[in-house]
Amino acid sequence: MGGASLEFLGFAVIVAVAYQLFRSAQWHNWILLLASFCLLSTFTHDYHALLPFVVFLAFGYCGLQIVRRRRSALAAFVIGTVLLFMYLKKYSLIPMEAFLPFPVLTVGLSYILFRVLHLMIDTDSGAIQGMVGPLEYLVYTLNFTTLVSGPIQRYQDFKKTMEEAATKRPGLRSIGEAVERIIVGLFKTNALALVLSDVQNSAIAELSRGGARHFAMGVISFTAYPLFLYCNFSGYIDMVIGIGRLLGITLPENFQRPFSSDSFSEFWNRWHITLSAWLRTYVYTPLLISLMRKYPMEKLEPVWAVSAFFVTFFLVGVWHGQTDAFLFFGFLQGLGVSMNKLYQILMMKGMGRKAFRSLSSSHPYVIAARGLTFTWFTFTLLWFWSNFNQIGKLFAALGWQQVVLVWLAIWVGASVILATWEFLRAAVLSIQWRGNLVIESRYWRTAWDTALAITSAAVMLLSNQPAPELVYKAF
Amino acid sequence: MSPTPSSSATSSSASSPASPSLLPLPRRDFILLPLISLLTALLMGALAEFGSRQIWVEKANDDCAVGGRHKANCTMLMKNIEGPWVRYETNDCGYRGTASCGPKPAGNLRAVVMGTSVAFGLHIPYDQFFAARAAPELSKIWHHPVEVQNLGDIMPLWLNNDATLKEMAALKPDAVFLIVAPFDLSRAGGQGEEEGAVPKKANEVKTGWTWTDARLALRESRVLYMAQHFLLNDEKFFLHAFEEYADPNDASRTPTPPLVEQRFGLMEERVAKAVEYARPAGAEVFMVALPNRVQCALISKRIRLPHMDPYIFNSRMKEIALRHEVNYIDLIPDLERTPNAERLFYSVDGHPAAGAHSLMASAIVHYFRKRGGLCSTNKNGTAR
Repeated sequence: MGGASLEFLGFAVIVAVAYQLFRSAQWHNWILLLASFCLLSTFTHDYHALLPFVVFLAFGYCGLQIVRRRRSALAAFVIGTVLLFMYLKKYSLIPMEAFLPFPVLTVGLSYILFRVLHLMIDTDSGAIQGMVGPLEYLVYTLNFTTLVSGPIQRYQDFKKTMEEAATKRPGLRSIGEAVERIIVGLFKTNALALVLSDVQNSAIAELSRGGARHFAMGVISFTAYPLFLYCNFSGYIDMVIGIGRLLGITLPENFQRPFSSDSFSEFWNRWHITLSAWLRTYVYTPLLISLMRKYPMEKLEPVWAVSAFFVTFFLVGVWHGQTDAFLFFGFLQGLGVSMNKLYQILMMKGMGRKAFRSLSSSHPYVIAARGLTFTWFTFTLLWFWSNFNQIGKLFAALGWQQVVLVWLAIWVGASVILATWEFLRAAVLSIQWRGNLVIESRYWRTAWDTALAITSAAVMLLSNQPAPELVYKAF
Repeated sequence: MSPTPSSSATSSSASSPASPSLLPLPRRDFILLPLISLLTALLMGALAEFGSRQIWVEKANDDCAVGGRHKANCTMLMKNIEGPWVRYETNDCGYRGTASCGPKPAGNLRAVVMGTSVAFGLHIPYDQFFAARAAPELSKIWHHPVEVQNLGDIMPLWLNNDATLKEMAALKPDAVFLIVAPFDLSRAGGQGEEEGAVPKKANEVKTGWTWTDARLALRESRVLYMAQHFLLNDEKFFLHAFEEYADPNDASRTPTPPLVEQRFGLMEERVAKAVEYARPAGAEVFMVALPNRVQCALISKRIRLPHMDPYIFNSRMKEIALRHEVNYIDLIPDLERTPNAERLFYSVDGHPAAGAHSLMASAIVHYFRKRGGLCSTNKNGTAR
């Protein structure tokens, strides 16, 4: 179930109805926990598979309680939790023989890892006051809306929104907004992602067959994936945010028009926001501060910033998977963000802060930078959806000269298309009626959402196949 | 990214009491919002219908038809929604093709094709029509130029009256090909003549919009037609649909329903009649039975459905052919070798597409390669 399926949606609606029957935080916790257990049970019926999952949760909870009493234990439990995670996720640096000889449930384990580490670190720093009880711990770490693929919410925010949900019932407008968000999510996951996935698969198949339209197929094979991934992941997030609203729970946003970013570092502020924010808080900042404290030289500060960026975003990539391809994906993420930062530092030094700001806000610069950001992300994703062997085959099918031309075309094409998109968006946003934006009017939104719902239903019905599996479910 | 820790990204912004999402909806919205939804749905339906009619054009009018036949020396264009534009030309007798129906040129062999829409080559350009494809190869095998006279017609003429059989005999054919399809079963011996006729009383004054009108309009909807097209292209869907909703009197059902038995009986009578006319004219008779789309799919994928046997139609037609000493050209081995044989047909319309005609042509050619020429040509290849 878990993905952006209608079954999951139906299940969530039933949970929301049950949830709204009560106005007690305690009841809400039990209902959410029961829902989470129900969802987990759909992934495995084998208790052996579930046992390591339970051990991981129990280890996290024990660590949390011990860290609360003995702060010196934090490092040991953080390392222990990460090692246990790597063991259960079967990271390739651990010998194969060491792994458990039976399948292990790991759905949502990466996201649980972030929540558990956050609980431990914030308890240690005092950001989380008071004891987190076992019920609250399980409800927070296993929350069925965010179990499979996030978003990663801070415990403090989760607790606050749960308390609010216990005091007020969502009004008709809130329900309408929730439904609206769910429809947008369904459209992205079940219509757009499905079409984009089919388009990419057909293009790769034609490229592999050595069809005549090499160049076009190359461009489509590479560019369809980032768009597919965006629709697949952000659509799912839209759905769970909508489901959260039905429950009265506010979940954090995970995407903010990432392809409008005009630099790679900015891109990561808009793509998988909760992951990059988590890493910023718990990896980047502590690492930078410790480096600056250990080597307090003003001249070295930019070097430490660039290095901290590299490490942080290298970890982003490594988190995604256990193979050498993901290691390289992480390297490219780190390289992209750190080089972007280095470029900004050097440019500001070379031409002055004001002149660089003026340059980087000029239209041609923004258009080209946006296209380049998309192109670099698309390039790095090759190691996300493929591996070295397959990439070699695709490049060989294209020929090296064509490979260069394809990537140039992607840059130019992305620059033009994204600039056009931004222009149209600005034009639509400028349409007003009696001082209000037309696009924000609930009448317009009702028409728009109806159109999206009908289109999604038509695509789902006619394609007669389920939406592509949620990519981030695997992480 | 700012190096300063910020929790804004992961923090939630709960609605404040003044948030617009907490304000009640104005009363008018309880009517307006559903109405807008409904209007949007209607508008989208209308736009989709309009768009579909522009993209998937249809021209179904048979401009050459006159009194259930085709005019002589007539040319027309027709287009099936799922297929290409097709040019139909008739000869001096109104048969599809350009070869004259007059006395056959000396040294030529004349092959007459009998049947309904499949034999007519409905929705198929003439150069892709099975007989046109097979004729050059048959000329080589029979050692004489082969001329095709196509007595196939959209109307089930040969199945219902003897006039077409008399015409066939008058052409003095060397070979007669009876092309039969499961759909013909329900039309043999005058069955289904009322089919498609809309009951209409003379001088009937139409008032208002009835449910029948609505149903007819829906049946004519291009969007729904194309929706069916895409759904029926999906193997899982169309096999499931067939399993669930197949005609209780489908020829594939086992045991064979009494009505289907009766239809096979009527079909046998027509085959016997065709032989009765062809033999005195000196023609050898051949039968080609083309299963329908679902039967082809089941045969090609070797799927067995409960109480269904996709081979029944062909085996029964073969029995009929052998009883009347008609040479039977078996398409089954070719269909079994063809992956996804359902793709050889137009998915909603159900008629064979160019791929099916190609398969028929190659089966016919293969049959004669194995067998040799016609019995009516003597050993040194001289025609009668």
